[in-house]
Amino acid sequence: MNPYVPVAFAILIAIVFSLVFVGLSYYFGPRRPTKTKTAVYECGMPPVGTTRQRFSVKFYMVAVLFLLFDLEAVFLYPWATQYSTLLDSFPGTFVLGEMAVFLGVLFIGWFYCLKRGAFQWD
Amino acid sequence: MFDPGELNFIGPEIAVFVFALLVLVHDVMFKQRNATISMGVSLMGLATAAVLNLLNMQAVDVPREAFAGAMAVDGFGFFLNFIVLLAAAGALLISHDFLRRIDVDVPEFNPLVLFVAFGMMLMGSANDLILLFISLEVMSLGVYVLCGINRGELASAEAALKYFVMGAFASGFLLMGIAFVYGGIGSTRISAVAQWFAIEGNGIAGNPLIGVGVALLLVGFGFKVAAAPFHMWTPDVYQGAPTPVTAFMATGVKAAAFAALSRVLLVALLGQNLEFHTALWLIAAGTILMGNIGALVQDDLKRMLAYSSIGHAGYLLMALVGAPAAGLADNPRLGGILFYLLAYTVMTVGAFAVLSFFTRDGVEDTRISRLGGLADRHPAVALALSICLLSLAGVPPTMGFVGKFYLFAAAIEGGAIGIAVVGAIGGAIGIYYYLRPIVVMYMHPEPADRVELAMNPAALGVLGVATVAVLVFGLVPGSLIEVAQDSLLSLAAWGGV
Repeated sequence: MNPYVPVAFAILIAIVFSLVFVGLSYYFGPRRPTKTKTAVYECGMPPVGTTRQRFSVKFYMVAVLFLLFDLEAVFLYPWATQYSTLLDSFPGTFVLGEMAVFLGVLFIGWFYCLKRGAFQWD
Repeated sequence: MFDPGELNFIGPEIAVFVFALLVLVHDVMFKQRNATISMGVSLMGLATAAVLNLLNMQAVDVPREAFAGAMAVDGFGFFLNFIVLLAAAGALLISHDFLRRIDVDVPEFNPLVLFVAFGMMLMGSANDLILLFISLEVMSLGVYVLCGINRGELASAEAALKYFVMGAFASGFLLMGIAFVYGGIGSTRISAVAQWFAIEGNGIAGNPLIGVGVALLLVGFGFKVAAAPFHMWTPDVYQGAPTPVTAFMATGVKAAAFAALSRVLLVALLGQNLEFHTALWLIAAGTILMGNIGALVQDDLKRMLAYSSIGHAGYLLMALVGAPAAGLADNPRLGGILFYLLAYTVMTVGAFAVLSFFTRDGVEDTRISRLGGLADRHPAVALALSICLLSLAGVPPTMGFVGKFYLFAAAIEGGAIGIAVVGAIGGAIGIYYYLRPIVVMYMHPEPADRVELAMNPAALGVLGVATVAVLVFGLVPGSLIEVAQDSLLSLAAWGGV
């Protein structure tokens, strides 16, 4: 017999038992709802409104820009730590130049964001 | 070891990218950007890339790898680069006056078109599935934004959102497929996949991972080239996006995605693997029928062209079904795929140039009934549009006819008679709906509330060049067909089929 069959049985028994007991209490249990009982936090702060509010797209912009420039920094670290190893197999101008190109492209992106007003809150 | 000389091979890509950055900086630098300068610099970038591409094409005789095998430098890639550059130039020229009319004045448009073209060009020469995926995403992300560039218009925003959600989903499938292929054979190189299949006894029967991987790849690519049953997004997105963007999507995106699909299929997957042939057969047949039958009942010319673009993807897939098991050289007619991609680009850009004239108070109105009386008012435009539509239908003596002839020849020579019959049925249906706008133009009266066509020199120039090219290469296709065939045969260097 497959050694996992007992495990399957255990899972099956757990499912059946939980369903049976939930079903029994659903069928026999009394239900007298009051306003307080059905509140989200029965013994906490009364809710003041829906949590699904619309929020300003500005937050989204900040998040995207943060990700962008955060990732830029993340890419810098492995390059910096491996710099001397890279010099063994590549010419120095290439190793430095590659990062210069990367940062240059990002700089133009930053310039674009600046000019389009992405960094202005209002 | 890195060889700086290899940078030459991505010269065209670098040129497009650098010019895109230049245009971007120019566009945001000044309060009132100069649209003409922006356009001029963008076109200069495309022209520079075309020249560099031509130089590369002459310099590289034997296909070779570059960047540690991530990129394939071969005629196939060069040919696709030309198609992409043409499509981008056409879209830019059409957009010049169009964007002003629909009152979209954003600095992002021209740079985005260039960035998208950059991604497309890389896609055509990607020899590694990872590079292929990244370039596909570079292309797709730009196109999502371009679709919604007219964000005041509900249809445009809807198109962008639909394309984005569905496209992201399809990208997931593609990435999953790449992961499974890697899991199955331990490499993401397309040529390595080909070598793996070439070993006796290796196939999807003994390796379920690669079977799943290829199925997922087909789903992902099927979405990008709008093949049935993954074509559902096409009509809505094509109709909702601004006309120049639709033109770019129908030509550039389709050509790039199809080139990548052809490379994967022809180099790595087809050949001995009869299972893939069957899958491809079914997809091709479905695409041809879906596209052509769907186009029959459209009242909007743009939506009709969207369905017809699905049908054209089907014809291209039909040729791929005819890929030979013995080697590409066995079926040189497959070069028709590249020729047809070029022909489709030229004639579609021509048709969309005319469509871009139909705006009313800043809103597009491309119902077929608006074409009424066009032949009386603007006989030259009506004639040019008729030629482009007849070419799409595959009527001689046009480029579309020659292309379609080669596609059918490729399928039949490859022994795929059944799918060629389906293709012929699709073509026959096609004649009907391509003729309908022509009938309206020449025989129907003008609509009572007619609007003056917003003709402009740039789009008229595109239309003129496209029409002349369709006729010239329809009459004397010889040398172009040869280049296309040689370009496709360069794929044979990578093994596989």
